[in-house]
Formats: sequence, structure tokens, C-alpha cells
Amino acid sequence: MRLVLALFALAAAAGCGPIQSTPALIEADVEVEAARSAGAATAAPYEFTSAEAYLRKAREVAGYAQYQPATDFAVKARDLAKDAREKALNASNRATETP
Amino acid sequence: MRSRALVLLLPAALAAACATGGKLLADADVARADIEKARRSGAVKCAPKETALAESNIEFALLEIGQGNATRARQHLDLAQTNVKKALDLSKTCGPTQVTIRDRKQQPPPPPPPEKKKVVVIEKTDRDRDAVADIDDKCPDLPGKPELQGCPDQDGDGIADADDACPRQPGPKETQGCPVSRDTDGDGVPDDIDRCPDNPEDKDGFQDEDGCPDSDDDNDGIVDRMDACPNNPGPIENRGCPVIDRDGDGVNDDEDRCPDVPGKAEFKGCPDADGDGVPDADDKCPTVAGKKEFQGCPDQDGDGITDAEDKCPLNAGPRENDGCPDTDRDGDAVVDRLDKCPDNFGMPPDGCPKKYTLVEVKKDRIEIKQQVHFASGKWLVLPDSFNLLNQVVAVLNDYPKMRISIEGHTDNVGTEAFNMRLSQKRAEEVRGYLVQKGIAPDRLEATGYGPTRPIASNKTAMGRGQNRRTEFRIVSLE
Repeated sequence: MRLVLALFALAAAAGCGPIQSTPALIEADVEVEAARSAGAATAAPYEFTSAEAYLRKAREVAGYAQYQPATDFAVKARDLAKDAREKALNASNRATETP
Repeated sequence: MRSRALVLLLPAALAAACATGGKLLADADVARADIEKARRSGAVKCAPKETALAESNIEFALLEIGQGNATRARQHLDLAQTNVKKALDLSKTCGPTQVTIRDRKQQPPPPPPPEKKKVVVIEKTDRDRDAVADIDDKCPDLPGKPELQGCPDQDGDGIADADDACPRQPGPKETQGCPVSRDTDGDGVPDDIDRCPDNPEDKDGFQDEDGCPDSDDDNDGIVDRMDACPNNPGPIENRGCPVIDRDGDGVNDDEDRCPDVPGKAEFKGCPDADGDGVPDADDKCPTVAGKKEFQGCPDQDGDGITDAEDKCPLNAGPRENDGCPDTDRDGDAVVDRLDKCPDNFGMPPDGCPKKYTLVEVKKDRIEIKQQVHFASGKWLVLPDSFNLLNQVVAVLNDYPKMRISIEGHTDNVGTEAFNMRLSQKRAEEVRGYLVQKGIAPDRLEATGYGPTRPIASNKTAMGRGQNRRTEFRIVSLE
């Protein structure tokens, strides 16, 4: 009985990694694409390039089953992409307001 | 033995790993220091991508070092170092510059206090990072050379791309920056595009760009110097100029009175749609064939009145009767329109009959109101009939064109041969009387019918009296 419980706990623990990292990757992916659409590649190149690099690395380490770093990098990529998008939108608004 | 070796190798391997990890960490520290330096030089603004890649790769390297993946850590460190170097290079010329401008009124510089010195700080920018400040850069968004005021020159021929006709091929200013080509025939067309490199172009305005002379530009067989129209082909008869016949009717426009409508040569190129020989321009009825005398309008019955004016276009008639034929009911050759007596045979001009006492002119005969009397069994005319015959003479004189036949008839008493001869003699006797009275003989015929044409019964005396008769039948009036 103990053995069964131990195996179950082990399986659950092993399965939690992908459950957490996958949504984070998806979120980051969505945010990066939104930032790209907003023109962040030129308006906020620092943030956007960082976001892309973190997302790429997040996918890579997820492939090595390093789920925690994958989640961390994905979250970072998402936040950077958000910043980049905001900057791009602000720049766009300023350009529109300028006569 | 083997376990002892393993025991010896394991610490060695651990030591090597530690050494490698230490080296990687040291390199990461150096890269991080460089990144800080670049950031202070404004690398985030001047080289944002490089800075971002350098920073992120250091973080990735640290992760890999922590995981014991030396190879991947090294790859990340190399990437970080490369990007740090680029960031440092780019931020050298990119960072803010401080310029101090002294107030001219204060020259020579006044003595202290130094806090009264006016200082204006201007930030010089250089968007394309070509070391030419934007204020002096004619192409502030394109990196270029200082000697070309910051504008690019891709082929390096000293002519800025904007002024260079061949920006990717070096060439002198004389050819607007394009490479010089040979021109063997000296016609100004370089050999590489000259189709006749040894024959100079004649520069006559026709295909001068191909470098070949065009002695007969329009290829009409007439050399240009003899060709009145050297650029338009035409026959020699027209001095090399094209024969223009816009309507294509075979009559050239210069002779064509109707140059835009096909026509006939006989009408100087003008059309005759109904083919009546009257050109449409002069034809009052251009779509219906007609006669020239009626200006191209038709007259089908040929009465001299055009169909349009003719009430009877298919029956000839005089104009007085609106082109319709006249009628003559009484046949007296005086048409009813002019005949005051249209139903009685008369004579011109009013068509009314003359009043004779012993005779009456009918349509087909001269009717006598009493018989011509002859001697019994003979052909001598008795004097009591002279008045009657004189009135016949009067009729013939009144109708000078009238021709009559004098017909003698008998009853059936006696032989037929005798009666035939008697009636003939009597008819001739009457004719002789009329001729004697001045009537032309050719207007008179005399025929004896004997008993062959009785008009009553020969069985009674009255009938036989009626059958013995002389008749004057009108042969013609004209």
C-alpha cells in the first residue's frame, strides 16, 4: 500500500512540471506575438529582444524537462513582452497626437 | 584494482569539473562587468538588441552552470560576450555628448566666482550612428561617410548613392557614377549597347539609341535624304510620304471630297448609296434610285412627275391631273378634264358635238338619219342624198384626222355575187362623191358586203329596206 502511494506521489510530482510550464509558455507566446504586432520590435527593441530570447530559452529547457526554469523564463518573457507592447502603443499614440 | 582506479579518478574528475565551472563563472562575471559598462555608455539606447541578448545569455549561462551543462553554458557565454562587445562598440559613438558654450559677452573669461558661468548643455544625436551628428548629417537615418555629409556610397566611387546613377557600380562623375564603356565608333553609344559598334549612329532622331545608322528609317525603299517623309513609309509616287485614304475607298484624302466616307472615284470619293448616278450630297432622294433630271428622285411611270409629287406614281398622267392619267369617256380625244361634253362625242377644243341635221358623230360611226339613195339596181347616187353626203363631208372636215370606212350592204334579193358587186360599186360611188368634195382619198375606204351583214329580216319588205343601207364607220380619229 505504501509503495502504491509513493508511486502515485512520484507520478503526480513528475506531472506537475508540464502542467505549470505549458500555460506559462502559451501566455508568453501570446504576449510576444501581441508585442510584435504592436511594432515593439522597433519601438521597444530592448524589451522585445529580451522577451524573445527568454521565450526561446524557456522552450528549450522545457524540452530538457527542466520545468521550473522553463516556467520562470516564460513568466519573464511574458512580462518583458507586456512592457515592450505598452511602450510600442505609447509611442504609436504619441506619433498620432503629434500634428 | 578497478575500484581503486575509480576512487582515484573520481576526485580528479570532480576537480576538473570544479575548475571548469569556476572558469565559466569568472567569464560570466567579466561579461556582466562589461554589460554594466556598456549600460553606462547608453547601450540600452544605442545597442538595445545586443544589450538584451548579452544580458539574457548571461542569465542562461548561469542556469546551465548551475545545472552542470558546461557546453551549453559556454555557448551562452560566447553569445553574451559577442553581444557585449558589439554593445560597447556601438555605444562609444552613441552616448550623450556634453558641449560647453561660453557666453561671448564674458570673454575674456571673467574672474571667479565660477558659479556665475552660463552653461548650455546640448545633446548631440546621431540616429544612424555613422559618427556624423544628425545636425550635420544630410542622411540622418542612413549610415554614411563623413566626407559625403553622412550619406551612403555603396560602390565607393565618391558619389553619394542619391546622386549616383549606378549606385552599385563605381564610375566617374562624368558618367554620373556609372562605369565607363568603350565607344569605338565615337557615336556616343557605348560599345556594350551599340548594335553597330564600328558604324556611328546617324543621329537623325530615329532609333538613335541603338548605335546603328538609319539611312532609310521608314524602310520604304527611299533613302532618307530623298524621302519627303523619312519616318513614315510611302510610295515613291508620293515622294516617300504615306498615301492617306482614311475611308479606304481608293481615293486619296487630298482628292477625296468625302475623306471619311467611302465613295466612288467618279464622284471624287463621295458616296452614292442608291447607285443612281447622283451622289448623295446632290441627291434629294439618296436612298431610292432616281433620275438625274429629278435630282436623283424616282419617276416610275415616266410622266415627268416625281413619285413624291405624283398622285398616280405607277400610271402616267399630265401634271394638270396631278400625274394621274386622263380619262375620255366619250372617246372624242378630248379628255374629260377638258371636255365640256364628256359623254358626247365632240371635237376640240370643248369636246362638244357640232349640231348636224342629217348626221350625228358617234364614238364608232357617223350615224346618218336617212339612207343614201341610189338608182334602182344601179350605183348612181341620187341627188336627194347630196345634202346628206355634204354633211358627211362637213364632219370629215371638222375632224381632219378622222378616217372612215364606207360600207355598202344589200338585201338578199338576187344573187349574192350580184349583190356583192352592187354594194361594192355603191360604196365606191359614195367615196368618189366625198373625194370629189375635197376629202383626201386615203382617209376613205370603200367596202361592199352584199347581203352578208343584215341588220333585219329579209323576209319582210321593211326588213329588206333596212338591210339595204350605207354606213360610215370611223376607223380612227388620230
